[in-house]
Amino acid sequence: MEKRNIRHILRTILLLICICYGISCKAQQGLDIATLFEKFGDRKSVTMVELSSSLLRSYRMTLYKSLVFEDVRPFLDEILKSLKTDANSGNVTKTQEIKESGRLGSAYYCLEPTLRNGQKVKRYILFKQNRQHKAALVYIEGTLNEDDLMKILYKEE
Amino acid sequence: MNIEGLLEKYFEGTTTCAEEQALRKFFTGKDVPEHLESYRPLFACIDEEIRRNLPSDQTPDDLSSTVKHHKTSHRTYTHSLYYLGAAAAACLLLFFVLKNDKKQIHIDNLPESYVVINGKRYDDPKLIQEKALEALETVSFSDEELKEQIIPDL
Amino acid sequence: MEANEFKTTVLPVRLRLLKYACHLTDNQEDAEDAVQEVMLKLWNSRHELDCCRNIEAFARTLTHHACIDLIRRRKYERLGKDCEPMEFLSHIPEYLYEIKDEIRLIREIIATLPPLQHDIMHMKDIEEYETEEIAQITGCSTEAIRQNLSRARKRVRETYLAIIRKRNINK
Repeated sequence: MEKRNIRHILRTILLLICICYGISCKAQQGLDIATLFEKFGDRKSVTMVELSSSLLRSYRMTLYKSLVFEDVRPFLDEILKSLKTDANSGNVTKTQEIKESGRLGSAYYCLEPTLRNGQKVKRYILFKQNRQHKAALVYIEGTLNEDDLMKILYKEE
Repeated sequence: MNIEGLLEKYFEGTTTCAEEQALRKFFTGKDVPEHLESYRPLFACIDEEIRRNLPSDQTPDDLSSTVKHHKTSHRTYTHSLYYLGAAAAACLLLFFVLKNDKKQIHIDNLPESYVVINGKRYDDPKLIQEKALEALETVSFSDEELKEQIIPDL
Repeated sequence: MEANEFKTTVLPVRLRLLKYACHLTDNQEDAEDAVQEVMLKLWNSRHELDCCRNIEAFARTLTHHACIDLIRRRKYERLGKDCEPMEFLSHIPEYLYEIKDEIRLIREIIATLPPLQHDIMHMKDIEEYETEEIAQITGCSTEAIRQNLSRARKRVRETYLAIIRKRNINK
């Protein structure tokens, strides 16, 4: 093969890689709350957890990310705004919101499934704040269904 | 056998399992009249799901003759071939996609599990697990909270 | 957990769940539906219940969620001035229209049924339980089961027909 052809092929492959990378980055969450993890993950009194696929396999999850705020008040506005954006984005299949004296106490969103690496995964967003202003935001992707998720959440009871 | 009558009972939820079996037999068979054609996928799907649901050594209780059974297995055979072909094509496609993906993963930081507390990153598995559980606990309802849950003003 | 153990340990909880559900939904029929759904879920996961430390608490949580779900759905239905029985037809998810294989389409439609209807249809049509058996397991009346089964099947039929119709229009 000519050197020119090889270079041409390599360039095309590189372009394909970049496209795949770009697409997957965009598809990574495509959700507004994704920015929250980037923004607040390394702040004071905030704990962020991300779990790897091997740990998650037995739960039929493919992605787990959480943010726990010891005191959520400085971040609350942005979080609620972000949740609202995603809740109204049109790909939510189920919503459960509980408001307490006018403020959002907890929220649960089940989003339309999406394709990740050729596998259809379901997506869930959970958010809750308690009376002491401690709050958690959890994002989960996986093949698990709602019942499985509930079992995981409440098994410790 | 009055199929239309059975269909009506079916959608009213009053059919017995035997009657439903008869419906499935009818709709997975050959002579489905045109005006009932739209019901075929429903019973074909249910029939498939039942076969999937059974342990491998059982076959659904069928009153059909051996000839009919042979015919349906022939149809499922060609069906399987199509699915196999589609699966093979999908695998090939997936392989190429994953190949590209793997390259991309090396460029990127594939997340091992980690926890970031106060801006500092830790890899200790016990700590990670503890913090993940804490997140899940915070996001779920405790018994007391359930008891005092005020149903929102809907 | 085996069937007999289920009937003796889980079924008695049903009355307390019903009371809780009535308190939340303020509507006897909705409460019955919610509890029916919960009992089916518990039945379907009876083999995993042994790991559950507190089955009643778990059941209560399921009931809580089922009730909130129902309340939300009722609110949704009440918003339209004329309460449409086929209201679900306006909420058909987009991806269903893209499924070409009709059998797969039906499978996906069944998967998008509300949890109670889905579970009942699965138990009756696919697992081939008789209506009386389902009534025994859930502790609900056969009429309640029949009603939800009928709703489920009609919903599958109407959704399927709506999708096919729309496809033919777009052709």
